[in-house]
Amino acid sequence: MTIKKKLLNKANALVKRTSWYKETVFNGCTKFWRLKDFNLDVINLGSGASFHAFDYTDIKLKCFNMALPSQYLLADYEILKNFSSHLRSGATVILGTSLFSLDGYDVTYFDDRYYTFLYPSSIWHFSIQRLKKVKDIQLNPLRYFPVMQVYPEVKKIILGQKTRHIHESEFEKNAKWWIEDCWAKEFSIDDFEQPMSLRNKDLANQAADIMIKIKNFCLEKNFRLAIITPPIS
Amino acid sequence: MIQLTAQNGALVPAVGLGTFNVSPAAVRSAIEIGYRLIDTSDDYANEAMIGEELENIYKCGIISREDLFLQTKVSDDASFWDDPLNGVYFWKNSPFMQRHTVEEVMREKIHNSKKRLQTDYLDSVLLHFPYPDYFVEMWDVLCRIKKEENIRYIGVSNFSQRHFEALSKEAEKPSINQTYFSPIGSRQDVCDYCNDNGILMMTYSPLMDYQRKRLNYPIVDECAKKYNKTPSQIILRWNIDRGSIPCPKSNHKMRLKNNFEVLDFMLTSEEVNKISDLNYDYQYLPESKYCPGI
Repeated sequence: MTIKKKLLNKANALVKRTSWYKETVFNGCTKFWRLKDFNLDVINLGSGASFHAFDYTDIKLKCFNMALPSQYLLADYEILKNFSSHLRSGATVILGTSLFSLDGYDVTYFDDRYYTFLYPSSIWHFSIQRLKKVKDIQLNPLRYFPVMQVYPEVKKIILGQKTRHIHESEFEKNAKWWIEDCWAKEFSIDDFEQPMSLRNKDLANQAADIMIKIKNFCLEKNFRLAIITPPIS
Repeated sequence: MIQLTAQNGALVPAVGLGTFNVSPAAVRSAIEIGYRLIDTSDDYANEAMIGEELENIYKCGIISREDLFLQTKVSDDASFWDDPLNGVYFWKNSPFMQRHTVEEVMREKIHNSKKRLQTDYLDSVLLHFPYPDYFVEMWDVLCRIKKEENIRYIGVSNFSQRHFEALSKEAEKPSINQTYFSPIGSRQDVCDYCNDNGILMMTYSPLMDYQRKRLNYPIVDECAKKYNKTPSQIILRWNIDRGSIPCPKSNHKMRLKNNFEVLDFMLTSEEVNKISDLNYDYQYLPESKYCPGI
């Protein structure tokens, strides 16, 4: 191996450790690349709330958190189908749902990260050109690493990840802000007392269809399905 | 064990040649050693190479086409030589399947396989996976076109009991089920179902776990010592004694020879059971990652 190649490998390895790589481009999905366990007893699916709600450290069962931030219900279903060989018969599948399981956009949109761990037929509107591009980003991230990101990444390495703590007194204000300024707008809800809009009814029906598919698949494969709603913030 | 016969009526030896990533020289060596079952697939991207090499072998007079058992598979892959285009066929959300029927696709694929393999008949065609949206229809089509397309045996690959049950209403049951069997992934339920229902089993990649050093168990070494064989030969014989024809692959003549020298001894049923007891449901290629929803 030439010195140039060695240096490139080292630089790529460094970029792979950045939050740009792990949290922006491949938002939480790198865990699927390393999954080698079989006969899992418990898995959980879901979006951000579920992703943060489940921590299996110190649990003696074989468990895996399959939830991903910003994930649609259809992607939960496809992940379950793609990784069902890793579950034992009788395993428990926990599906974490939230308002966002309905999502407000195209339910069949699959972002780039899914190209790295799902079978092509699971990715709606799959493109072989996109697959090639994503694989290249995965293997040679240095080529794509934004220069503007160097400073915040270095700062994070030196100072560590900053976390913001909300004081108890701020809870209500924070919740109100999320509900009224964010989610109500995202889902076009003017008044919670009014019946659901046609658009939201469509989304709810779509979500219900996918949940029925998940339920039927679990029954077919002899998995026990538990549907829960984790707290969101 | 159920016996396979070639077109000329001769029994096919119970070890086949898996051909994924093998060279033309390996195909020739295998045939010279005595292999008669050649297993390929339309997504291995090597049917043309095998067809060409076999044509040379026929010309040399080593064997004729009728001595050989040529098996291929129908997959969901649309590529012939370049980047894999998995998932193009036999999936509901594939735009391609909204324009073409399963029968059209199957006929085209089988026609292309025969053309590339330079043969006017195939000894066996398998469905590569139970593609959830279409496998019942695919099987129905395969039963209907078997005669017209000149296919001697039809079968499946990577099927488990619930997939067979879904086919139970069909006119013909599969003759063959090729799947992954290993002492650490013994799939006893599939094995029992196939044995009880007269379905011949074949094992793909039977030595993969041995090569990856996942089969270092005293029972395997003890048997090897007792029969004066290598551990890999014991694994192959374990497959045969459970009723499955192993299809190992190799590009080395010596290994091809070793893999074939397993027909002169038998494990006792106690030894077979002891090796099967090593099972912990391991899969080196998790099926659901190649056929989601399987």
